[in-house]
Amino acid sequence: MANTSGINEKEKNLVVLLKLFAVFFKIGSLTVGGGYVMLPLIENELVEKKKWFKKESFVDVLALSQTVPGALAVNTAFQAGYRLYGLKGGFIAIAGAILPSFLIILAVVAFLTGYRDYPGVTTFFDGALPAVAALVAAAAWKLGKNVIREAKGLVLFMVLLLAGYFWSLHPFAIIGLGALLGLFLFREQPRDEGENREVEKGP
Amino acid sequence: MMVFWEIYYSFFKIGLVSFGGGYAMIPLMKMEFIDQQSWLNSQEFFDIMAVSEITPGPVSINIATFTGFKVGGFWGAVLATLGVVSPSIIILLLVYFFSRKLSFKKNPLLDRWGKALLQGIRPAAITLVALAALYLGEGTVTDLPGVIVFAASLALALATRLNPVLIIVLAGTGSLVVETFYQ
Repeated sequence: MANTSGINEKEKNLVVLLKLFAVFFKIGSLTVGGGYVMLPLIENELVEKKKWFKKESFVDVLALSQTVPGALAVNTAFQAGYRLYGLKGGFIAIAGAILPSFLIILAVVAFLTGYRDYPGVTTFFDGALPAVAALVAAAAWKLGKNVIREAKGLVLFMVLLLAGYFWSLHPFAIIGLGALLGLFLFREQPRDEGENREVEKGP
Repeated sequence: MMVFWEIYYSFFKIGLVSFGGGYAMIPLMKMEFIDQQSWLNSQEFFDIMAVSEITPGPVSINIATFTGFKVGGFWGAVLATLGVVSPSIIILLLVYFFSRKLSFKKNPLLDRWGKALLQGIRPAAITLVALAALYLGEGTVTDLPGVIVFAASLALALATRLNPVLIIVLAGTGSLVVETFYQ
């Protein structure tokens, strides 16, 4: 009897781990357009539908996902899995998030290697590539508008951009310089407009 | 064997600078794969970008898998993908470990320094995205039709809520239609 209940416990864990995998696999295979499109869907699945997280604790997860480097969906998957089932959960959730990408890309590569030089395919790419460049430019503009809200930030951005473009500064150096200059430029400032909530908590 | 290790190591470094999504990794990818190792030429790299944008899933994972496959076949794809997610896992585990030990929110000094650091890192990450846009623009917008497509796509991306994938597919199909008419 004790044995069976042990097995059931294990089976129950396995089912939840599979569900965790399935959530991220589904979102990873159906969502085009990268992390910012995926985050609201992930939140909807984990908070509203599955009720594995409270909304407040998931806000922390999302904030950290956007702070550390790496793909947003992967950062969110790892944290969700880790919080529910430790390392095992983290790895399974990541596997779910990246496996669709991996399989789809392999399929596309298999197709493209044979057909990339066909006239129609070449024409398609000729039109699509400037659009890709435009989307990256648009992303820079939109992200910049959200993040750079004062003169100091704009100066930092411009200096790094010019140095990066004309001296081919290494990206590590760009991030490192940004962090260093951030410490000098922004440390003295006690609070910034974005954090009104903290001002209320203060006194 | 050496190649596989280099693929993993390159993508580990690339994963470290990909703040705020996949675009910030483009300048370092160009350095590692085109300038230093010549594993790819610019044309192949632009193709990888276009495909990674219009296929499902996180853009950085798509880029890693595609590049890894080009350079090292199936196992190249596996190692590139593992490489680009490894920094995320390590950094998140460190944050979870230390935030329990130091409890950042209750420590005003750490909190203030951390915020200042981030306020510098974020504009720097946008610098990387802007550099990526410059690099892609210089490489792909080379004639008048290119300028028109670039301007139209930029306008659509900034002024409407159209899905990025749709804009790219529209540009590609538009190019097909125009070519058919003028032949």
